[in-house]
Amino acid sequence: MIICGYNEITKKLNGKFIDTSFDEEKENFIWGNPEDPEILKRAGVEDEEIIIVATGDDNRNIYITLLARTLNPWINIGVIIKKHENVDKAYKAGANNVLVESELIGREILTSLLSPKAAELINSVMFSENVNIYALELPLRYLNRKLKNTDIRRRVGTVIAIKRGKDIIKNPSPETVLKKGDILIFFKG
Amino acid sequence: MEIKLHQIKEKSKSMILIGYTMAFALRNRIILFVLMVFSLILIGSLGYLIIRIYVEHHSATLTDAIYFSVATISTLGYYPPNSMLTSEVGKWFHIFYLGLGLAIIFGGIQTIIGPWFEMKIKMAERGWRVPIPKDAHVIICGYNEFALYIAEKLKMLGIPYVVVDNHAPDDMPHVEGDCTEISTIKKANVLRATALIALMDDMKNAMISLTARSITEDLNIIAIATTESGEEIIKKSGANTVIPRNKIIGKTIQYWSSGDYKYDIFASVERLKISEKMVKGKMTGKKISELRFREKYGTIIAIYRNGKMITDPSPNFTLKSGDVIIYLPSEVEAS
Repeated sequence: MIICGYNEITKKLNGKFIDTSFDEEKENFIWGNPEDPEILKRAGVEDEEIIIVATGDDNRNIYITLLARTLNPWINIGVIIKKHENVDKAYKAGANNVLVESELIGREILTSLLSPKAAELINSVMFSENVNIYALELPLRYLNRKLKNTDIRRRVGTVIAIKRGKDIIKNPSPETVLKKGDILIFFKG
Repeated sequence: MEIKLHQIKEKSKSMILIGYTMAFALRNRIILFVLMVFSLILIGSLGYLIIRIYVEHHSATLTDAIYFSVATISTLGYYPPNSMLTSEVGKWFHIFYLGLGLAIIFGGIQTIIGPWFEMKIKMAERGWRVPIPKDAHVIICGYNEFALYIAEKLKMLGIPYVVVDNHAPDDMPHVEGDCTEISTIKKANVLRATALIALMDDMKNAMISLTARSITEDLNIIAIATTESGEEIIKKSGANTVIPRNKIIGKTIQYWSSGDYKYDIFASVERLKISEKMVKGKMTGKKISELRFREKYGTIIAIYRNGKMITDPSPNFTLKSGDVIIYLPSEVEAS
């Protein structure tokens, strides 16, 4: 994974950083401007699967997205954007996922304002190691049965979501019929 | 403090009252003016008809009469041939009527235009300000992208809010100044607010938390923090909740890049909807299975009891007063 920009947001991520904020080049730290195609190539943009663009400047981020997309049409690009008006531009530039700071943080503030305990739970899922999400491939004996007619609830726990193909069915109803390849998602504290 | 707040209330009330009476008076004046012009035409026409028929012994139509009145009071001065009043009485009536017409028309226009201009100027001075909410509102400190997002959502939810900043737009309820100053947050009616959201830098957010906490204990203070040290300091300054902004964004991008389900379910913008419900009244002492919670509200994922989280409680779990149920609302309830 390549990470453009070494800062408060990205510093805990694992990958190859491109930035000019550190003094010397060392392992996984490439000194240079990510707007430079040569630097991106040196970081391995043509072979990497994921690139995170988080320089802290929307215009730079969108430019780097364009560049990365040109250099590697298959790479997964995640961009962090400050201004809401730039979201569409980032997607048009070729981003796979655009995270808007104000949306993520604003929503977090509203949750803690309106339902503080739910916010606490989300917080512990996000930051605590002992609260986790478990994924389980559907055991064949539950195939084509309704969720409510199985003993999954008793044996494992409440299914909070089902991943089916690329989609995620959130909070499935008890009437949901389980299909082959479903991945059941549980929440455990 | 209470007295001051009361004074602020009274002041804003009287400002509204001034505007109201001004508008009211203007409307009345317009109605009065229209009525006066009507009666003026009525008097002129009647006078014309009476003099023309009974004094001058001519024939006269109603159209002639109204024409005479309008041509006179508007100072048009042109009359169709053989329609003028020719008798002595008629001429004196004409003179008297012209004088009356001038007095009413010009006097009337003046009394209407005057206050109208006055009102326009006063309104421009006050700048059509959106009123500042006075009770159970949310104070947002700092006008930026976060504030815009929060203000929009609060508006949708019908929760009153006020933004404190020097650069907030006029169509938004706002107070000029800085939340670090007691006088400014008092202008935002901080004593009656339910929550304060600090969206500035770490240093200012810490100052805001200290300032707001020093004047009220009950206020729910939520602040964002950019650094880890800032997070701790703001918490110690009296904020109830500190949102570590870079940590959240960092974790979100980390879960996305590693394909962790935490991203889809708890972190993405389209994340799971999570609600909470406090146990009280009839629910107390009941088992989860007895409440038919799944059918009525949604799937329970956890229960908070005395600050401890119990995940995935069994249907036999007995609820106590004060427990908080965290659940995923079912679609039926949402629609």
